[in-house]
Amino acid sequence: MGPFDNWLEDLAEIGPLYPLVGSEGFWVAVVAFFWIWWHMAQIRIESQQDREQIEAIGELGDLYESLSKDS
Amino acid sequence: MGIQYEGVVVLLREIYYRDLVILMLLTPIGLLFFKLGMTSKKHRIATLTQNLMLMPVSIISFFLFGWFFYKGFEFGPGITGGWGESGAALPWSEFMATNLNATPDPDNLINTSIPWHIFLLFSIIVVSIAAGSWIERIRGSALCILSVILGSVFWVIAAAWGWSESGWLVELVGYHDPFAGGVIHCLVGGFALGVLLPLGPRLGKQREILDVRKTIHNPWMLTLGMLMIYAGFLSFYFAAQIPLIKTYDSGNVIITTNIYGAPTTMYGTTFNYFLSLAGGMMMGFILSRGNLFWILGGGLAGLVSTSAGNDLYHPLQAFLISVFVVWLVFRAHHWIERRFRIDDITGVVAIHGFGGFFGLIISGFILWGYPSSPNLEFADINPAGQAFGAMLTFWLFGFFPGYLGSQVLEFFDVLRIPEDLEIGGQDTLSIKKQKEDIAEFAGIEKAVLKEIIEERNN
Repeated sequence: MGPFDNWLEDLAEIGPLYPLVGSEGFWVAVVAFFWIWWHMAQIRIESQQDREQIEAIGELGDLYESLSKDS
Repeated sequence: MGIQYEGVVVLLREIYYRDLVILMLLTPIGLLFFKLGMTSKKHRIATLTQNLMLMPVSIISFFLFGWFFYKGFEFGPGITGGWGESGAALPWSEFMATNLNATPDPDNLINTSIPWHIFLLFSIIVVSIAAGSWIERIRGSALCILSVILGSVFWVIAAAWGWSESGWLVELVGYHDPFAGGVIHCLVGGFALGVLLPLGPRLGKQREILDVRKTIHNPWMLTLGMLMIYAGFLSFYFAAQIPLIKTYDSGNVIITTNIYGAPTTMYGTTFNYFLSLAGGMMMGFILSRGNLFWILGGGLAGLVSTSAGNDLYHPLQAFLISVFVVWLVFRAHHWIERRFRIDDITGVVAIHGFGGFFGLIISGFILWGYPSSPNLEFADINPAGQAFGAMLTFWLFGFFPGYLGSQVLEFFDVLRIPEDLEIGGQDTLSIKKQKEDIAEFAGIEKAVLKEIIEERNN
């Protein structure tokens, strides 16, 4: 699996240390896909949470009453 | 130079920059505290989580394309050259990982992999600064998308043009901005303004509640945050200077250059850092009659104002420029807030945008005729070049991308949180859950206590 089997050879010949050298484009595509998906998921999660929060906040009239009590 | 000598130089520089990355983290952390100090209690947890997410988003986008923009756009491309060494900065390049073939050049920092980490931190700082002006009403997802546009695209291209050794702006117009007063601060101010216009002020601002604008909700967080920003700013100054040992034909030996490869000294720039800070804080105190926000903000604006010339100024010149620019910044801030109903919570447009803009203009006159680079073919520093750079960074790289980006988000209705949420608070559920957890915990405590008492009585 590894690109080399001997640390004692000329290090410049070893070059990259990570496994699966040559497959970098594939990893970039996967990560880019995940990254874009993450932004879309964030928007979806946020919208859902906003709806739940607005429900929890309730009527603004009640909020006004509670603010009046606090002050 | 022998291989061992070169190795020592590279090693020392690696240690220098690795340590600075850690110290520079003080800036985004400080900005987080600063923003929380200015955020009302009902939005504080949301502000915290939204702003924390800027960091991972900046990291991944900067790896995927941000670094490529810096390396590829230095010469335009197509203005003074091609794509430079950008091939090695593409995310699928084998040099974007541990590679024993990557041989750092001791005479040129930019050829090594070291600056990736430094520029990433700059990107995180840039987006963290901008985010402060929009808190309490922008959606977290919009914040992340705008951060990618700013931190991994436009800021980086501006830096490639005007904040690199061979940037075409330096070569052709003599642009000089060693501590990024333009390519970071002026640009961030423009971007913040571009987003603020479609985003609008917090609810109530249009009802003339002008004095509430600079309400400090937590003075301790504000102060702690700003002091951390000052510390991070100093490490940023150090990161913008390249330690190396260079012998000139004349026999002179220098050990520090600015980002353009021109000689400077770290002790000189540190003098200027502190004098700029002092001038800004003192002027901020006078103008605001001792308001905490403006004492600390004045110090920051003072630092920004001299960043375009602090490698060359005398410390007292830096002090006086800082005093003058902070006066301008303070006046301009209040003018745009009232005139255009700009609700800039952390004062980004004025402190960074105007501070950087005026600082660049002034440096063009004071440093007129100085060489912008050790390269003799490059243009000298001049007022027109600095003014051009100021306009370019504020409007082209700052305002327009921010304005267009936020207009698109507005079109898809994902820019601003709903009105009820803004009034009720984004932390409603978090606070409710916290109260429930505490009540449940108190119930358990009570039950345990009852058990212990019963056991002892038996």
